[in-house]
Amino acid sequence: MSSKLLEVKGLSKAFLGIKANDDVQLSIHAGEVHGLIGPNGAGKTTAISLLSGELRPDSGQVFMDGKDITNLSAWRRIHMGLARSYQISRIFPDMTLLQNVQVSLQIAHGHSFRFVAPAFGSHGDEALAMLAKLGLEDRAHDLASSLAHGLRRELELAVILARKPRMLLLDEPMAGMGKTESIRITQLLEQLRGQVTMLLVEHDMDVVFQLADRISVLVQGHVVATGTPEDIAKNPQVRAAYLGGEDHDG
Amino acid sequence: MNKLALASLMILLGLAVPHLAEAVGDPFLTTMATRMAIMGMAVASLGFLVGFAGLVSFGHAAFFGIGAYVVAILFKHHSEASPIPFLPFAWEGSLSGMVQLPLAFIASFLFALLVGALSLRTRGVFFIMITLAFAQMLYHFMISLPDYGGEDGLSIWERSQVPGLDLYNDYDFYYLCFGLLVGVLLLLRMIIHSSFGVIIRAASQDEARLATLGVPVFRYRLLAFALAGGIAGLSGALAANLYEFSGPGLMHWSRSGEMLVMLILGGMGSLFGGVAGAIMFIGLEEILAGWTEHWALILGPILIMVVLFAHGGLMGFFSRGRS
Repeated sequence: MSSKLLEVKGLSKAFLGIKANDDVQLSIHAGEVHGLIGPNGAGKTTAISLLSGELRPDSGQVFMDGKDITNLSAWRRIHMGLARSYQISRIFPDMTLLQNVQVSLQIAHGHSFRFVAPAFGSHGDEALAMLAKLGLEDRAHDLASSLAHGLRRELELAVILARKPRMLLLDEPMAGMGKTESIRITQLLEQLRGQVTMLLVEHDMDVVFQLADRISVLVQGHVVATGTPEDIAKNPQVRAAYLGGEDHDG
Repeated sequence: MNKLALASLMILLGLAVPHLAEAVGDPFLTTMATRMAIMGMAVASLGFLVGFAGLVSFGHAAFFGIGAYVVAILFKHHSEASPIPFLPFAWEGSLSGMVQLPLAFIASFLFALLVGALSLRTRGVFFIMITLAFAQMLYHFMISLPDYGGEDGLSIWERSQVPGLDLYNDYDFYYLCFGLLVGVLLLLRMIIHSSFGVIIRAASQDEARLATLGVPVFRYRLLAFALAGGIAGLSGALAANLYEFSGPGLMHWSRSGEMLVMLILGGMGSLFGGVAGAIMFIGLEEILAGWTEHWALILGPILIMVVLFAHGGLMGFFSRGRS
Protein backbone atom coordinates (compact mmCIF):
# COMPACT_ATOMS: atom_id res chain seq x y z
CA MET A 1 0.00 0.00 0.00
CA SER A 2 2.08 2.90 1.26
CA SER A 3 4.99 3.66 3.58
CA LYS A 4 5.16 2.37 7.14
CA LEU A 5 4.35 5.05 9.71
CA LEU A 6 4.74 2.85 12.76
CA GLU A 7 6.66 -0.38 12.98
CA VAL A 8 6.92 -2.73 15.91
CA LYS A 9 9.60 -5.41 16.03
CA GLY A 10 9.64 -8.22 18.56
CA LEU A 11 8.02 -6.24 21.36
CA SER A 12 7.77 -8.14 24.65
CA LYS A 13 6.58 -7.13 28.09
CA ALA A 14 6.02 -9.30 31.13
CA PHE A 15 4.32 -8.45 34.41
CA LEU A 16 5.46 -10.61 37.34
CA GLY A 17 6.60 -13.23 34.89
CA ILE A 18 3.36 -13.29 32.93
CA LYS A 19 3.97 -12.36 29.32
CA ALA A 20 1.45 -9.67 28.36
CA ASN A 21 3.13 -9.05 25.03
CA ASP A 22 5.31 -11.71 23.52
CA ASP A 23 7.34 -10.89 20.42
CA VAL A 24 4.69 -8.61 18.92
CA GLN A 25 5.21 -7.68 15.26
CA LEU A 26 3.10 -4.93 13.71
CA SER A 27 3.49 -2.52 10.87
CA ILE A 28 1.06 0.27 10.37
CA HIS A 29 0.91 2.01 7.01
CA ALA A 30 0.52 5.77 6.76
CA GLY A 31 -3.14 6.66 6.29
CA GLU A 32 -4.67 3.31 7.18
CA VAL A 33 -7.07 2.32 9.91
CA HIS A 34 -5.50 -0.71 11.52
CA GLY A 35 -7.72 -2.81 13.76
CA LEU A 36 -6.21 -4.70 16.71
CA ILE A 37 -8.49 -7.39 18.07
CA GLY A 38 -8.15 -10.33 20.41
CA PRO A 39 -9.83 -12.01 23.33
CA ASN A 40 -9.84 -10.43 26.81
CA GLY A 41 -6.40 -10.42 28.36
CA ALA A 42 -4.64 -10.80 25.01
CA GLY A 43 -2.44 -7.77 25.77
CA LYS A 44 -4.07 -5.12 23.60
CA THR A 45 -3.92 -2.31 26.17
CA THR A 46 -0.35 -3.27 27.06
CA ALA A 47 0.53 -2.97 23.38
CA ILE A 48 -1.02 0.51 23.22
CA SER A 49 0.87 1.63 26.33
CA LEU A 50 4.12 0.31 24.89
CA LEU A 51 3.50 2.28 21.72
CA SER A 52 2.53 5.47 23.58
CA GLY A 53 5.67 5.25 25.70
CA GLU A 54 3.90 4.89 29.04
CA LEU A 55 5.36 1.41 29.41
CA ARG A 56 8.86 0.34 28.47
CA PRO A 57 9.26 -3.01 26.71
CA ASP A 58 11.49 -5.74 28.14
CA SER A 59 12.76 -6.26 24.62
CA GLY A 60 11.95 -5.26 21.07
CA GLN A 61 11.79 -1.95 19.24
CA VAL A 62 9.29 0.65 18.10
CA PHE A 63 9.97 2.72 15.00
CA MET A 64 8.12 5.82 13.84
CA ASP A 65 8.98 7.25 10.41
CA GLY A 66 11.83 4.74 10.45
CA LYS A 67 13.29 6.28 13.60
CA ASP A 68 13.81 4.17 16.71
CA ILE A 69 11.57 5.65 19.42
CA THR A 70 11.77 2.72 21.83
CA ASN A 71 13.45 4.80 24.53
CA LEU A 72 11.54 8.02 23.93
CA SER A 73 9.32 9.05 26.86
CA ALA A 74 5.57 9.44 26.39
CA TRP A 75 5.57 13.23 26.44
CA ARG A 76 8.15 13.32 23.64
CA ARG A 77 6.31 10.85 21.41
CA ILE A 78 3.30 13.10 21.00
CA HIS A 79 5.62 15.81 19.72
CA MET A 80 6.28 13.39 16.86
CA GLY A 81 2.54 13.13 16.30
CA LEU A 82 1.69 9.98 18.25
CA ALA A 83 -1.43 10.41 20.43
CA ARG A 84 -3.57 8.00 22.43
CA SER A 85 -7.02 7.70 23.94
CA TYR A 86 -7.82 5.60 27.00
CA GLN A 87 -10.32 2.85 27.65
CA ILE A 88 -11.69 5.03 30.46
CA SER A 89 -11.54 8.52 29.00
CA ARG A 90 -8.92 10.73 30.56
CA ILE A 91 -9.75 14.41 30.71
CA PHE A 92 -9.27 17.22 33.24
CA PRO A 93 -12.47 16.90 35.28
CA ASP A 94 -12.27 20.20 37.20
CA MET A 95 -11.87 22.29 34.06
CA THR A 96 -14.57 23.27 31.60
CA LEU A 97 -14.76 21.58 28.21
CA LEU A 98 -13.32 24.69 26.61
CA GLN A 99 -10.44 24.82 29.09
CA ASN A 100 -9.69 21.15 28.44
CA VAL A 101 -9.14 21.91 24.77
CA GLN A 102 -7.32 25.16 25.58
CA VAL A 103 -4.78 23.26 27.70
CA SER A 104 -4.16 20.95 24.79
CA LEU A 105 -3.66 23.87 22.40
CA GLN A 106 -1.39 25.59 24.92
CA ILE A 107 0.81 22.49 25.00
CA ALA A 108 0.80 22.36 21.21
CA HIS A 109 2.19 25.91 21.11
CA GLY A 110 5.38 25.11 23.00
CA HIS A 111 6.52 24.94 26.62
CA SER A 112 4.42 26.39 29.42
CA PHE A 113 7.13 27.98 31.57
CA ARG A 114 5.26 31.26 31.33
CA PHE A 115 4.13 32.82 34.57
CA VAL A 116 2.44 36.14 33.94
CA ALA A 117 -0.32 36.19 31.32
CA PRO A 118 -3.58 34.40 32.22
CA ALA A 119 -3.58 31.12 30.28
CA PHE A 120 -7.26 30.83 29.46
CA GLY A 121 -7.19 34.18 27.71
CA SER A 122 -5.72 32.57 24.62
CA HIS A 123 -6.73 29.88 22.10
CA GLY A 124 -10.40 30.36 23.01
CA ASP A 125 -11.75 30.61 19.45
CA GLU A 126 -9.65 27.73 18.20
CA ALA A 127 -10.79 25.58 21.12
CA LEU A 128 -14.44 26.45 20.51
CA ALA A 129 -14.07 25.51 16.84
CA MET A 130 -12.64 22.13 17.87
CA LEU A 131 -15.54 21.53 20.26
CA ALA A 132 -17.98 22.50 17.49
CA LYS A 133 -16.45 19.83 15.25
CA LEU A 134 -17.57 17.24 17.78
CA GLY A 135 -20.89 18.92 18.48
CA LEU A 136 -19.90 19.87 22.02
CA GLU A 137 -19.95 23.67 21.66
CA ASP A 138 -23.23 24.05 23.60
CA ARG A 139 -21.54 22.66 26.69
CA ALA A 140 -18.26 24.53 26.27
CA HIS A 141 -18.55 26.22 29.66
CA ASP A 142 -19.71 23.21 31.67
CA LEU A 143 -17.28 21.35 33.87
CA ALA A 144 -15.89 18.27 32.18
CA SER A 145 -16.84 16.21 35.24
CA SER A 146 -20.51 16.91 34.46
CA LEU A 147 -20.34 15.00 31.17
CA ALA A 148 -21.89 11.59 30.73
CA HIS A 149 -19.67 8.71 29.70
CA GLY A 150 -20.23 9.01 25.96
CA LEU A 151 -19.60 12.74 25.82
CA ARG A 152 -16.43 12.34 27.86
CA ARG A 153 -15.07 10.15 25.10
CA GLU A 154 -15.91 12.86 22.56
CA LEU A 155 -14.24 15.51 24.69
CA GLU A 156 -11.17 13.32 25.00
CA LEU A 157 -11.07 13.06 21.22
CA ALA A 158 -11.43 16.84 20.90
CA VAL A 159 -8.52 17.31 23.34
CA ILE A 160 -6.34 14.85 21.43
CA LEU A 161 -7.25 16.14 17.98
CA ALA A 162 -6.33 19.67 19.09
CA ARG A 163 -2.75 18.35 19.18
CA LYS A 164 -3.09 17.54 15.44
CA PRO A 165 -1.70 14.01 15.70
CA ARG A 166 -0.59 12.02 12.68
CA MET A 167 -1.16 8.72 14.43
CA LEU A 168 -3.93 7.86 16.88
CA LEU A 169 -3.84 4.94 19.27
CA LEU A 170 -7.48 4.29 20.19
CA ASP A 171 -8.04 1.97 23.16
CA GLU A 172 -11.60 0.67 22.87
CA PRO A 173 -13.28 3.94 21.93
CA MET A 174 -16.71 2.25 21.88
CA ALA A 175 -16.39 0.65 25.32
CA GLY A 176 -19.49 1.38 27.39
CA MET A 177 -21.10 3.46 24.65
CA GLY A 178 -24.75 3.32 23.66
CA LYS A 179 -25.78 2.48 20.11
CA THR A 180 -26.26 6.10 18.95
CA GLU A 181 -23.04 7.28 20.61
CA SER A 182 -21.19 4.40 19.05
CA ILE A 183 -22.50 5.35 15.61
CA ARG A 184 -21.48 8.98 16.14
CA ILE A 185 -17.91 8.03 17.10
CA THR A 186 -17.72 5.65 14.14
CA GLN A 187 -18.76 8.47 11.82
CA LEU A 188 -16.17 10.75 13.35
CA LEU A 189 -13.40 8.19 12.88
CA GLU A 190 -14.63 7.68 9.32
CA GLN A 191 -14.22 11.44 8.73
CA LEU A 192 -10.66 11.29 10.06
CA ARG A 193 -9.73 8.46 7.71
CA GLY A 194 -6.86 9.46 5.46
CA GLN A 195 -5.93 12.51 7.56
CA VAL A 196 -4.88 10.53 10.61
CA THR A 197 -3.48 7.03 10.78
CA MET A 198 -5.26 4.93 13.40
CA LEU A 199 -4.59 1.87 15.46
CA LEU A 200 -8.02 0.81 16.68
CA VAL A 201 -8.34 -1.60 19.59
CA GLU A 202 -11.99 -2.54 19.82
CA HIS A 203 -14.26 -5.29 21.08
CA ASP A 204 -17.20 -4.35 18.87
CA MET A 205 -16.48 -6.50 15.83
CA ASP A 206 -19.03 -4.72 13.65
CA VAL A 207 -17.15 -1.46 14.16
CA VAL A 208 -13.73 -2.98 13.54
CA PHE A 209 -14.77 -4.77 10.39
CA GLN A 210 -16.52 -1.63 9.15
CA LEU A 211 -13.65 0.78 9.81
CA ALA A 212 -10.43 -1.16 9.48
CA ASP A 213 -8.42 -1.41 6.28
CA ARG A 214 -6.36 -4.16 7.85
CA ILE A 215 -6.69 -6.13 11.07
CA SER A 216 -4.16 -7.78 13.37
CA VAL A 217 -5.20 -10.44 15.84
CA LEU A 218 -3.50 -10.65 19.22
CA VAL A 219 -3.79 -13.89 21.17
CA GLN A 220 -1.96 -14.40 24.46
CA GLY A 221 0.38 -11.53 23.73
CA HIS A 222 1.26 -12.73 20.26
CA VAL A 223 0.12 -11.50 16.84
CA VAL A 224 -1.30 -14.59 15.16
CA ALA A 225 -2.55 -12.98 11.98
CA THR A 226 -2.60 -9.72 10.03
CA GLY A 227 -4.67 -9.09 6.94
CA THR A 228 -7.71 -7.50 5.35
CA PRO A 229 -11.03 -7.93 7.18
CA GLU A 230 -11.99 -10.63 4.64
CA ASP A 231 -8.79 -12.60 5.25
CA ILE A 232 -9.18 -12.35 9.00
CA ALA A 233 -12.81 -13.48 8.92
CA LYS A 234 -11.76 -16.62 7.05
CA ASN A 235 -8.58 -17.33 9.04
CA PRO A 236 -8.89 -20.68 10.87
CA GLN A 237 -6.34 -19.67 13.58
CA VAL A 238 -8.39 -16.62 14.45
CA ARG A 239 -11.59 -18.63 14.59
CA ALA A 240 -9.91 -21.09 16.93
CA ALA A 241 -8.69 -18.30 19.19
CA TYR A 242 -12.13 -16.73 19.43
CA LEU A 243 -14.20 -19.87 19.63
CA GLY A 244 -11.88 -22.23 21.48
CA GLY A 245 -9.49 -20.04 23.43
CA GLU A 246 -11.77 -17.73 25.32
CA ASP A 247 -13.02 -19.98 28.08
CA HIS A 248 -10.04 -19.33 30.36
CA ASP A 249 -10.42 -15.59 30.77
CA GLY A 250 -13.91 -15.49 32.20
CA MET B 1 -16.29 41.38 41.51
CA ASN B 2 -17.50 39.98 44.80
CA LYS B 3 -14.10 38.41 45.29
CA LEU B 4 -12.38 41.70 44.50
CA ALA B 5 -14.51 43.50 47.07
CA LEU B 6 -13.71 40.84 49.66
CA ALA B 7 -9.99 41.03 48.93
CA SER B 8 -10.03 44.84 49.19
CA LEU B 9 -11.85 44.59 52.50
CA MET B 10 -9.26 42.12 53.83
CA ILE B 11 -6.41 44.39 52.77
CA LEU B 12 -8.02 47.42 54.42
CA LEU B 13 -8.60 45.39 57.56
CA GLY B 14 -4.99 44.22 57.46
CA LEU B 15 -3.75 47.78 57.13
CA ALA B 16 -5.91 48.88 60.05
CA VAL B 17 -4.72 46.17 62.47
CA PRO B 18 -2.13 48.24 64.42
CA HIS B 19 -4.58 51.11 64.77
CA LEU B 20 -7.35 48.81 65.95
CA ALA B 21 -4.94 47.23 68.43
CA GLU B 22 -4.15 50.68 69.76
CA ALA B 23 -7.81 51.61 69.89
CA VAL B 24 -8.65 48.63 72.09
CA GLY B 25 -5.53 49.32 74.15
CA ASP B 26 -3.83 45.99 73.47
CA PRO B 27 -0.66 46.53 71.40
CA PHE B 28 0.15 42.84 71.74
CA LEU B 29 -2.51 42.21 69.10
CA THR B 30 -0.16 43.73 66.52
CA THR B 31 2.50 41.16 67.37
CA MET B 32 -0.08 38.41 67.13
CA ALA B 33 -1.17 39.72 63.72
CA THR B 34 2.50 39.70 62.69
CA ARG B 35 2.70 36.01 63.61
CA MET B 36 -0.49 35.39 61.65
CA ALA B 37 0.92 37.14 58.57
CA ILE B 38 4.18 35.18 58.78
CA MET B 39 2.51 31.79 59.21
CA GLY B 40 -0.14 32.77 56.67
CA MET B 41 2.61 33.20 54.09
CA ALA B 42 4.11 29.77 54.80
CA VAL B 43 0.73 28.04 54.84
CA ALA B 44 -0.36 29.81 51.63
CA SER B 45 2.73 28.41 49.90
CA LEU B 46 1.83 24.96 51.26
CA GLY B 47 -1.72 25.50 50.01
CA PHE B 48 -0.34 26.24 46.56
CA LEU B 49 1.31 22.81 46.63
CA VAL B 50 -1.51 20.82 48.22
CA GLY B 51 -4.58 22.55 46.83
CA PHE B 52 -3.42 23.42 43.34
CA ALA B 53 -0.53 21.12 42.47
CA GLY B 54 -2.01 18.18 44.38
CA LEU B 55 1.27 17.56 46.22
CA VAL B 56 0.80 16.86 49.92
CA SER B 57 4.15 17.79 51.42
CA PHE B 58 4.72 16.79 55.02
CA GLY B 59 8.08 18.50 55.25
CA HIS B 60 7.29 22.12 54.67
CA ALA B 61 8.70 23.21 58.05
CA ALA B 62 12.18 22.26 56.78
CA PHE B 63 12.11 25.11 54.26
CA PHE B 64 10.67 27.46 56.87
CA GLY B 65 13.53 26.47 59.19
CA ILE B 66 16.20 26.99 56.52
CA GLY B 67 14.97 30.55 56.06
CA ALA B 68 15.20 31.13 59.81
CA TYR B 69 18.71 29.65 59.98
CA VAL B 70 19.90 31.82 57.09
CA VAL B 71 19.05 34.92 59.12
CA ALA B 72 20.57 33.47 62.29
CA ILE B 73 23.80 32.30 60.64
CA LEU B 74 24.33 35.54 58.73
CA PHE B 75 23.78 37.44 61.98
CA LYS B 76 26.14 35.20 63.97
CA HIS B 77 29.05 35.54 61.56
CA HIS B 78 28.45 39.23 61.19
CA SER B 79 28.48 39.82 64.93
CA GLU B 80 31.60 37.63 65.41
CA ALA B 81 33.25 39.01 62.27
CA SER B 82 34.07 35.40 61.37
CA PRO B 83 33.89 34.03 57.84
CA ILE B 84 31.13 31.53 57.06
CA PRO B 85 33.05 28.23 57.00
CA PHE B 86 31.02 26.30 54.42
CA LEU B 87 31.22 28.97 51.71
CA PRO B 88 33.94 28.75 49.02
CA PHE B 89 34.69 32.45 49.49
CA ALA B 90 35.34 34.57 52.58
CA TRP B 91 32.20 36.34 53.75
CA GLU B 92 31.32 37.47 57.23
CA GLY B 93 27.57 37.50 56.89
CA SER B 94 25.27 40.48 56.89
CA LEU B 95 22.60 42.22 58.89
CA SER B 96 20.90 43.75 55.88
CA GLY B 97 17.39 42.50 55.26
CA MET B 98 17.99 43.15 51.57
CA VAL B 99 20.60 40.38 51.74
CA GLN B 100 19.12 38.13 54.40
CA LEU B 101 15.57 37.84 53.06
CA PRO B 102 16.46 37.11 49.41
CA LEU B 103 19.12 34.64 50.55
CA ALA B 104 16.58 32.89 52.79
CA PHE B 105 14.32 32.51 49.76
CA ILE B 106 17.16 31.27 47.54
CA ALA B 107 18.56 28.79 50.09
CA SER B 108 15.13 27.24 50.71
CA PHE B 109 14.36 27.25 46.99
CA LEU B 110 17.57 25.33 46.26
CA PHE B 111 17.03 22.84 49.06
CA ALA B 112 13.45 22.30 47.88
CA LEU B 113 14.83 21.72 44.38
CA LEU B 114 16.98 18.93 45.78
CA VAL B 115 14.23 17.39 47.92
CA GLY B 116 11.75 17.70 45.06
CA ALA B 117 14.11 16.10 42.54
CA LEU B 118 14.09 12.95 44.65
CA SER B 119 10.64 12.95 46.23
CA LEU B 120 8.60 13.96 43.15
CA ARG B 121 9.39 10.62 41.58
CA THR B 122 6.94 9.10 44.06
CA ARG B 123 3.21 9.62 44.54
CA GLY B 124 0.62 9.73 47.28
CA VAL B 125 1.60 8.31 50.65
CA PHE B 126 5.17 7.69 49.51
CA PHE B 127 5.55 11.35 48.64
CA ILE B 128 4.20 12.36 52.06
CA MET B 129 6.64 10.00 53.77
CA ILE B 130 9.68 11.04 51.76
CA THR B 131 9.13 14.76 52.30
CA LEU B 132 8.67 13.99 56.02
CA ALA B 133 11.91 11.98 56.03
CA PHE B 134 13.91 14.78 54.38
CA ALA B 135 12.60 17.32 56.87
CA GLN B 136 13.51 15.07 59.81
CA MET B 137 16.96 14.49 58.33
CA LEU B 138 17.54 18.22 58.22
CA TYR B 139 16.19 18.55 61.77
CA HIS B 140 18.70 16.03 63.07
CA PHE B 141 21.46 17.53 60.96
CA MET B 142 20.95 20.95 62.58
CA ILE B 143 20.95 19.35 66.03
CA SER B 144 24.32 17.81 65.23
CA LEU B 145 25.92 21.20 64.45
CA PRO B 146 27.29 22.60 67.71
CA ASP B 147 28.71 25.65 65.94
CA TYR B 148 25.16 26.70 65.11
CA GLY B 149 23.71 26.04 68.53
CA GLY B 150 22.93 22.34 68.11
CA GLU B 151 19.79 21.46 70.00
CA ASP B 152 19.59 24.91 71.61
CA GLY B 153 19.51 26.85 68.36
CA LEU B 154 20.87 30.33 67.75
CA SER B 155 19.75 33.55 69.30
CA ILE B 156 19.64 36.67 67.18
CA TRP B 157 20.59 39.91 68.96
CA GLU B 158 19.87 42.18 66.06
CA ARG B 159 16.91 42.06 63.73
CA SER B 160 17.38 42.54 59.98
CA GLN B 161 18.06 46.06 58.82
CA VAL B 162 15.55 47.08 56.19
CA PRO B 163 15.89 50.54 54.63
CA GLY B 164 13.15 52.88 55.78
CA LEU B 165 11.87 50.48 58.43
CA ASP B 166 12.83 49.74 62.01
CA LEU B 167 12.01 46.11 62.77
CA TYR B 168 12.14 46.83 66.50
CA ASN B 169 9.09 48.97 65.94
CA ASP B 170 6.08 46.63 66.09
CA TYR B 171 4.18 48.64 63.49
CA ASP B 172 7.05 48.66 61.01
CA PHE B 173 7.64 44.96 61.47
CA TYR B 174 3.95 44.19 61.04
CA TYR B 175 3.67 46.26 57.87
CA LEU B 176 6.73 44.55 56.40
CA CYS B 177 5.23 41.11 57.02
CA PHE B 178 1.78 42.17 55.86
CA GLY B 179 3.17 43.78 52.70
CA LEU B 180 5.21 40.70 51.85
CA LEU B 181 2.19 38.47 52.51
CA VAL B 182 0.03 40.50 50.11
CA GLY B 183 2.85 40.42 47.55
CA VAL B 184 3.23 36.65 47.86
CA LEU B 185 -0.52 36.09 47.53
CA LEU B 186 -0.69 38.28 44.41
CA LEU B 187 2.31 36.46 42.94
CA LEU B 188 0.82 33.01 43.62
CA ARG B 189 -2.52 34.14 42.23
CA MET B 190 -0.86 35.30 39.02
CA ILE B 191 1.06 32.04 38.72
CA ILE B 192 -2.02 29.88 39.30
CA HIS B 193 -3.78 31.54 36.37
CA SER B 194 -0.73 31.55 34.10
CA SER B 195 0.19 28.88 31.55
CA PHE B 196 2.48 27.34 34.16
CA GLY B 197 -0.31 27.28 36.74
CA VAL B 198 -2.71 25.63 34.34
CA ILE B 199 -0.20 22.84 33.73
CA ILE B 200 0.30 22.40 37.48
CA ARG B 201 -3.45 22.17 38.06
CA ALA B 202 -3.99 19.84 35.11
CA ALA B 203 -1.26 17.56 36.47
CA SER B 204 -3.15 17.19 39.73
CA GLN B 205 -6.33 16.26 37.83
CA ASP B 206 -4.89 13.70 35.43
CA GLU B 207 -1.17 13.26 35.24
CA ALA B 208 -1.19 10.49 32.61
CA ARG B 209 -3.36 12.54 30.26
CA LEU B 210 -1.08 15.54 30.61
CA ALA B 211 1.98 13.43 29.86
CA THR B 212 0.46 11.87 26.75
CA LEU B 213 -0.48 15.36 25.61
CA GLY B 214 3.21 16.18 25.60
CA VAL B 215 4.12 17.67 28.99
CA PRO B 216 7.19 16.65 31.03
CA VAL B 217 5.13 16.84 34.23
CA PHE B 218 8.09 16.33 36.58
CA ARG B 219 9.84 19.57 35.58
CA TYR B 220 6.74 21.67 36.20
CA ARG B 221 6.08 20.05 39.54
CA LEU B 222 9.70 20.50 40.57
CA LEU B 223 9.59 24.22 39.93
CA ALA B 224 6.28 24.56 41.81
CA PHE B 225 7.74 22.62 44.73
CA ALA B 226 10.88 24.76 44.83
CA LEU B 227 8.87 27.98 44.60
CA ALA B 228 6.68 26.95 47.55
CA GLY B 229 9.84 26.03 49.47
CA GLY B 230 11.38 29.42 48.73
CA ILE B 231 8.31 31.25 50.00
CA ALA B 232 8.31 29.16 53.18
CA GLY B 233 11.97 30.17 53.59
CA LEU B 234 11.11 33.84 53.30
CA SER B 235 8.43 33.34 55.92
CA GLY B 236 10.94 31.55 58.16
CA ALA B 237 13.35 34.47 57.84
CA LEU B 238 10.63 36.81 59.11
CA ALA B 239 9.82 34.40 61.95
CA ALA B 240 13.48 34.34 63.01
CA ASN B 241 13.32 38.12 63.26
CA LEU B 242 10.12 37.99 65.28
CA TYR B 243 11.35 35.36 67.75
CA GLU B 244 14.95 36.64 67.56
CA PHE B 245 15.86 33.00 67.44
CA SER B 246 16.30 30.04 65.14
CA GLY B 247 16.47 26.43 66.26
CA PRO B 248 15.96 22.89 65.03
CA GLY B 249 12.51 22.85 66.63
CA LEU B 250 11.27 25.06 63.78
CA MET B 251 11.90 22.13 61.41
CA HIS B 252 10.40 19.41 63.57
CA TRP B 253 7.78 17.26 61.85
CA SER B 254 5.14 18.50 64.25
CA ARG B 255 5.63 21.98 62.79
CA SER B 256 5.00 20.61 59.30
CA GLY B 257 1.90 18.92 60.67
CA GLU B 258 0.79 22.18 62.24
CA MET B 259 1.01 23.89 58.86
CA LEU B 260 -1.17 21.16 57.32
CA VAL B 261 -3.66 21.59 60.18
CA MET B 262 -3.81 25.33 59.48
CA LEU B 263 -4.37 24.61 55.80
CA ILE B 264 -7.19 22.15 56.52
CA LEU B 265 -8.78 24.64 58.93
CA GLY B 266 -8.67 27.42 56.34
CA GLY B 267 -9.49 25.34 53.29
CA MET B 268 -7.34 24.04 50.47
CA GLY B 269 -9.45 25.17 47.56
CA SER B 270 -8.37 28.81 47.63
CA LEU B 271 -5.11 30.68 48.07
CA PHE B 272 -6.47 32.70 50.96
CA GLY B 273 -7.45 29.49 52.75
CA GLY B 274 -3.93 29.10 54.12
CA VAL B 275 -3.96 32.61 55.52
CA ALA B 276 -7.45 32.15 56.99
CA GLY B 277 -6.26 28.92 58.61
CA ALA B 278 -3.20 30.58 60.12
CA ILE B 279 -5.34 33.41 61.51
CA MET B 280 -7.84 30.97 62.96
CA PHE B 281 -5.22 28.60 64.41
CA ILE B 282 -3.11 31.31 66.03
CA GLY B 283 -6.21 33.16 67.22
CA LEU B 284 -7.70 30.02 68.79
CA GLU B 285 -4.37 29.09 70.33
CA GLU B 286 -4.12 32.55 71.85
CA ILE B 287 -7.67 32.53 73.24
CA LEU B 288 -7.69 28.91 74.40
CA ALA B 289 -4.24 29.14 75.98
CA GLY B 290 -5.65 31.95 78.09
CA TRP B 291 -8.18 29.53 79.57
CA THR B 292 -6.21 26.35 79.91
CA GLU B 293 -2.78 24.99 79.21
CA HIS B 294 -4.46 21.96 77.60
CA TRP B 295 -5.69 24.12 74.73
CA ALA B 296 -4.77 21.48 72.15
CA LEU B 297 -7.47 19.30 73.72
CA ILE B 298 -10.07 21.80 72.54
CA LEU B 299 -8.39 22.59 69.22
CA GLY B 300 -8.43 18.90 68.26
CA PRO B 301 -12.21 18.48 68.29
CA ILE B 302 -12.60 21.82 66.48
CA LEU B 303 -10.36 20.50 63.72
CA ILE B 304 -12.40 17.31 63.49
CA MET B 305 -15.62 19.35 63.29
CA VAL B 306 -14.17 21.46 60.47
CA VAL B 307 -13.16 18.36 58.53
CA LEU B 308 -16.54 16.72 59.06
CA PHE B 309 -18.93 19.63 58.66
CA ALA B 310 -17.18 22.49 56.89
CA HIS B 311 -15.71 20.57 53.99
CA GLY B 312 -13.33 22.96 52.28
CA GLY B 313 -12.40 24.62 55.57
CA LEU B 314 -13.25 28.13 56.62
CA MET B 315 -13.10 29.44 53.05
CA GLY B 316 -15.27 26.62 51.75
CA PHE B 317 -17.78 27.34 54.49
CA PHE B 318 -18.01 31.00 53.50
CA SER B 319 -18.15 30.45 49.75
CA ARG B 320 -21.03 28.02 50.22
CA GLY B 321 -22.79 30.51 52.45
CA ARG B 322 -22.66 33.10 49.69
CA SER B 323 -23.93 30.97 46.86
